[in-house]
Amino acid sequence: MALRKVKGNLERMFDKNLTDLVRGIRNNKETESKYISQCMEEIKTELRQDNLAVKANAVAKLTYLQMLGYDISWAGFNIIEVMSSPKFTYKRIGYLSASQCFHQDTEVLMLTTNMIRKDLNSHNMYDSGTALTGLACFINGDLARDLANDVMTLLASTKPYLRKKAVLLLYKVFLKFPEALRPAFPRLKEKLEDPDPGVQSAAVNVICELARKNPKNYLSLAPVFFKLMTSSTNNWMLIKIIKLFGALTPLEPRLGKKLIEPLTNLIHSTSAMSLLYECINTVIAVLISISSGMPNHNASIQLCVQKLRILIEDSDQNLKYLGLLAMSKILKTHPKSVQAHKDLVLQCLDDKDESIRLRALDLLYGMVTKKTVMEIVRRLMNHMDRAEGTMYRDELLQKIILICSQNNFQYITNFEWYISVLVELCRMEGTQHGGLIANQLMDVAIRVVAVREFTVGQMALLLDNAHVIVGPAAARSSIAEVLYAASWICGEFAQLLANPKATLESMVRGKVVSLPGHIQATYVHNMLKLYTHIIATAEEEDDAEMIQEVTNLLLERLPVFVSSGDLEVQERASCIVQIVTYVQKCHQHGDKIGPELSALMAGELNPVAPKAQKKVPLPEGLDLDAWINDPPSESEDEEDEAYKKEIFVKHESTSKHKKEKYEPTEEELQKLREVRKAEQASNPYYVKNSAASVQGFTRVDQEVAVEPIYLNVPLKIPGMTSMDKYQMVDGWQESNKKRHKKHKKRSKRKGPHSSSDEEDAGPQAQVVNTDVGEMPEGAHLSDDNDADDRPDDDPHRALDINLDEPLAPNEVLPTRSHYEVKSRRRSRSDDKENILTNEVSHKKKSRSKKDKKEKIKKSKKEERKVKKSSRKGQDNLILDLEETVEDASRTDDIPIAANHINGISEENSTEKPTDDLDFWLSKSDSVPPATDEVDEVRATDTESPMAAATPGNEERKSKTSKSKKEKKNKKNKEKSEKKSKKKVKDEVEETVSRNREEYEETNGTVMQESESQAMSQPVVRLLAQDSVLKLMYSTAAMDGVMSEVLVSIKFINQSSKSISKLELNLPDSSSLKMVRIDPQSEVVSFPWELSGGEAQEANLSFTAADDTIPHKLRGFLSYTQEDGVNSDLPVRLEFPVTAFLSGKTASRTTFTDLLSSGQLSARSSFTLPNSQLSFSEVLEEVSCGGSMEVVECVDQTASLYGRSLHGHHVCLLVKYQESGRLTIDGKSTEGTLLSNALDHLKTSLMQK
Amino acid sequence: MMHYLLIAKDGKVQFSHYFTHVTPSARPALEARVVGKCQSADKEGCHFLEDGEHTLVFRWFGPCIFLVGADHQENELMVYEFLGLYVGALQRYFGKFSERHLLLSTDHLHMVLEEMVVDGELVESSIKNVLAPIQMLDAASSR
Repeated sequence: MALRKVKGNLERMFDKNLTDLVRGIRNNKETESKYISQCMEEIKTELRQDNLAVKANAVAKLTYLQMLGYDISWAGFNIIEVMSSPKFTYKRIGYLSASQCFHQDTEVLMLTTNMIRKDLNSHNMYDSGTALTGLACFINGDLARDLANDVMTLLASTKPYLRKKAVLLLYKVFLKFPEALRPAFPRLKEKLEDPDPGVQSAAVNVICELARKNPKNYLSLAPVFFKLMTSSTNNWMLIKIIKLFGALTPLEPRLGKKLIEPLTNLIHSTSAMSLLYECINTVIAVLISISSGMPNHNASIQLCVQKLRILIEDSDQNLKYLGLLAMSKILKTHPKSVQAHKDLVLQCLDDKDESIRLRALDLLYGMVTKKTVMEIVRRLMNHMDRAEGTMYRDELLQKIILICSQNNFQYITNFEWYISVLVELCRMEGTQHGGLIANQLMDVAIRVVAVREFTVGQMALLLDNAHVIVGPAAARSSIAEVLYAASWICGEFAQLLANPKATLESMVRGKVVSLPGHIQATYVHNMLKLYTHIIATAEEEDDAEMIQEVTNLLLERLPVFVSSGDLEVQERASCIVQIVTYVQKCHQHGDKIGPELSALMAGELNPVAPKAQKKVPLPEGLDLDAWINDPPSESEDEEDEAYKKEIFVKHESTSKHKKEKYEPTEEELQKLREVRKAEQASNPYYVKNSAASVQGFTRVDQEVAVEPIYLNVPLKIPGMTSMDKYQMVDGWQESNKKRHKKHKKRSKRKGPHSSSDEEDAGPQAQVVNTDVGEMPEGAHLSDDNDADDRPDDDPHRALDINLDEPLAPNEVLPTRSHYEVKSRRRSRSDDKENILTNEVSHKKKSRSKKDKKEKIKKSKKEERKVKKSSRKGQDNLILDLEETVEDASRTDDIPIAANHINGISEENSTEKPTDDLDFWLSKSDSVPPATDEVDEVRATDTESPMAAATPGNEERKSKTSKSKKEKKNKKNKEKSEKKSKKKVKDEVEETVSRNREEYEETNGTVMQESESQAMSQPVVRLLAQDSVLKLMYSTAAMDGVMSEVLVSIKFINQSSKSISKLELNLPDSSSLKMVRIDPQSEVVSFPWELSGGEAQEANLSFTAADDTIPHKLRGFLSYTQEDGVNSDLPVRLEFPVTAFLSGKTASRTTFTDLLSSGQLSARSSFTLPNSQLSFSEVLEEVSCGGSMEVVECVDQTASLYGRSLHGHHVCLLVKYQESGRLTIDGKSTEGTLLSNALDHLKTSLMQK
Repeated sequence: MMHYLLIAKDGKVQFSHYFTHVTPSARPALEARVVGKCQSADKEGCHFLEDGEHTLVFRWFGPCIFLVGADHQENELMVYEFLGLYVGALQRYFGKFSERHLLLSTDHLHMVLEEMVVDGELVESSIKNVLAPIQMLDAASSR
């Protein structure tokens, strides 16, 4: 064996390591792939060896190769081997490799569950850390389910390094295993108040991510986050918190109101741009959510816009970009305030950076008004002329059209101008937006009746100059689509054409055949329309020559289309040829056929609502899935398909175009039209389009609005001077003149239809037909179904879970306790929980015995564990070193936000954050809190765990199957209380003692238990007393966010008269400060009145600069009695060091970790030779008076834990001997604190 | 959250770290597209680009381009700052961070990154805290 090892090491010397590989690749640049395949072979042989070092080296090389793009998925199993190595350096290589190449569907992951669990639970915190980091990358549903509990355990670790990583991993666990969210959430919430800023920030990150997807479930956390926001100085975290608020505010406008002030303050004070940007973003979100009812609403908007302007004007392009981005968000709700900065945005259009130009374009879209639209479009057109790159030009084109067409052409006052713009746009080379322009042209032509004639004229010119548009460059663009629109418009509104014959001639001219099929088809069909019109008018005027000419023209030209390769074109052309020959025949007979021909095309086009098709009700009894005939055999199917293919292959190009895709033959068409007309006439629901539709064909001399148009873009009639495109005229006057000239030219050609009424150019409104369009009966446009639009497989869907509901007893994380010794120890608490729920009351005695035995066993195990870990000295050495390094450098490098806001933290910190969001939110509105509200605070403060539990119980009672269990559970609880009562000889009235032994084992593992812990009530001491008033007080350390001590003072009116104007004058000492509403005043006034015999409670918060020494505060309470007598009552508030201790986070694992880590450098102890108290009384005194938590209690020995406001740990061991000899040993991270605490305990124990 | 971090030089990816899984076969295409996009952007211009579902945030350090693909919702400036922080950490760790390190010590680059980012979220913003465990392990392994 040894020989083999040596041999392995020898071989290793000749192996390539990663550096060699990298060098090798660089040296073999020409033959890289050959070199790498050679290396791969080497790696494969290395992987076959037993030596782990060799394997790790090979895997490291593989990871590198994977980065270069080589497939290493075959090595999955080897990677796992390396991951399971006991040596950390190898393990890390394995995990890194796994994190980069495994994913949730990797099959070998099945093998890793136990290995990863072992690593997570490792004594070496780096093992667990690496496992946590790696797991985040490849965790899948199974791993998440199996390891959720282990990750939860790590949340309670003493090492912030592990806590923060575990917290972040939770997000992935939730994603893959949503059932874990509810049981784990209370713990995650707790982490928000973790003493370590890193853990806090990790928890914020996770909740921020969760809340972004399902914000409504996290609204109740708003108070906590608010407090964090006003107290934290970590910019990284602040950004996340503020982002979170941005997600929450749309759901709760009141929250927004509360946020505005601190956020604006932050905006003013911060120097960090990223934070500033985030604040502005959230303020914008807030302002969007509260559209009205804010007094300084406008001020905030102005502030934002101002700051954004500064960003945009900055030379840093990044800030410019973000400024524009944020600006566009404001634009949606407050366009006015943004429009003031039009100059700036236009300036950005000239920026050399394309992404900034695009952002500026976005902004322009919303900045347009009726007045500015022309100018802005002119600038854009100018730009387009100069812009490089078709991509950007296309973008510009699209934006121009979007700007003009938004909201049903809201901003367009002059549609002739718009048509000119569109015509101008047709000349852009290589655009992909031909279809868009065509749509706009048709849209305007159809819906704006007043400008129709102008449009038709322009389209005729377009057709005349088609060869220019469809130049050589057109092959790659879609500009030809414009001709589709042009031909259709000219055909449909032929009666408006100045010279129909000329247009017809330009349509049949040769180039057409090169156009795409669907455009040709429109051409052909519209030729017929034009023809019809010409014939009809010519017949009226008896112009036989004209008839002859056009008929011949068509008969001569149409055969080209009859032989077209496009099915549609061919079909229509042959149909039309027949019609034309028929007409010719008729005319030869001297018959007039004009009216009949016109009837073919009669009827006005009505807009159809966009959703009309969807809203057509399904006819009763229609089952589209049912077979009409028996299903055909498969072979037939194939034949069918082949057949279909053949038919449709030619059709594909036309499929895009909805209009006129399918045209029945003319006879059919006529029939259909007649039927439709008859139907419409008899249909009472059909709204006759009286005026508009009549206009369609009968109107001859419609007044066209021709007014002097102030065109910034010169009207260019395309085709006349084809090459000097985009000749932009800058001057106002010039363009005007030119416009007039052209206009005259045009009107001359207009012929009999247009009365050239340039002079009486009244500002006639060009109305856009904005009807909803035709809809099926009974359908409304608005009835839309806005369901959750996330795809079904979006994991966040599953995470939409109500988190405020109390946990049901079955909602615990799955634990695997049946086959693995190690995990059983860890999950014992859960087992215990099960036992508790299943146990029936008559087993009471036997159970308690069993419990005792178990406890003893466990404590032995614990001891063994401690020994074991002390044997692993090396590990711990590293641990200690690390711990101290971390502690020392905790605040290092964290960017510090500039001054925090005065008064904000005070405003809210006088009261403990309650879960009652409504209350929290309404607090700011009602300045002096009403009496019942204070009561509410009190209720939530002390009774919340109970309150939270009861409604849940009642709810569950309705489910009969579970209710039994529940009752048992309740009984158990009562039982445990009784039991504890027996033990304690003299029951102290105020303090309800819970049976700690019930809870200590479950500490920190199961949520319900941590809730019940909070039930322990602190000792109530007398504060002051006179004949009228009695004051009692208790202290509770609120370690966590604010590091405060909460003092609840109970005012008891002992007289029969009512007392009012209670004012507490309590000046701060140098190191102990009250958190006040008004920081200037030393007086705290209580708004309520105490009637005779009534008692009230008030909460005050204090912060201590130094929590290692006891503090005192002196002051007096003044009050006025009913009969007007003023009295003062001296008050002395004492804060022994134990007041700063809290045992909230105690758990067995943290406790043992702490002890074994060696952090607790300070030691102290005292002995009372003959204590008068019993053991349980002593424990009572130490735990309640000393606000410590019992971690473990065996016979007459107990260990307790407490943590001070500033994060010092205190551990006590209480030993009690039957003789009354009491010894208390203490260990702590802070010597002064410990000795002061022990002194206090000693005196209080002696006094009893 | 961030999805990947790439370091590229002359348009070639030298280092990649994925926080969320992308199939290895899709990576080269993604990397080429993304790096090309950033490379061709104006150096003086804006360092944020849209890329489908992600926002690309990149930063030049000498001839190398550092690039992160993040959610649209992520604060771009924060990611930009993070890149600076990461390079700062590498500077502090290597003494002077150079291309040689980028080439030969990719594993250390991964290590530093893993200390800073878990699950695509920044966990540690203090360079000292980031480096403490790595340096300690280095010391332990050299002993």
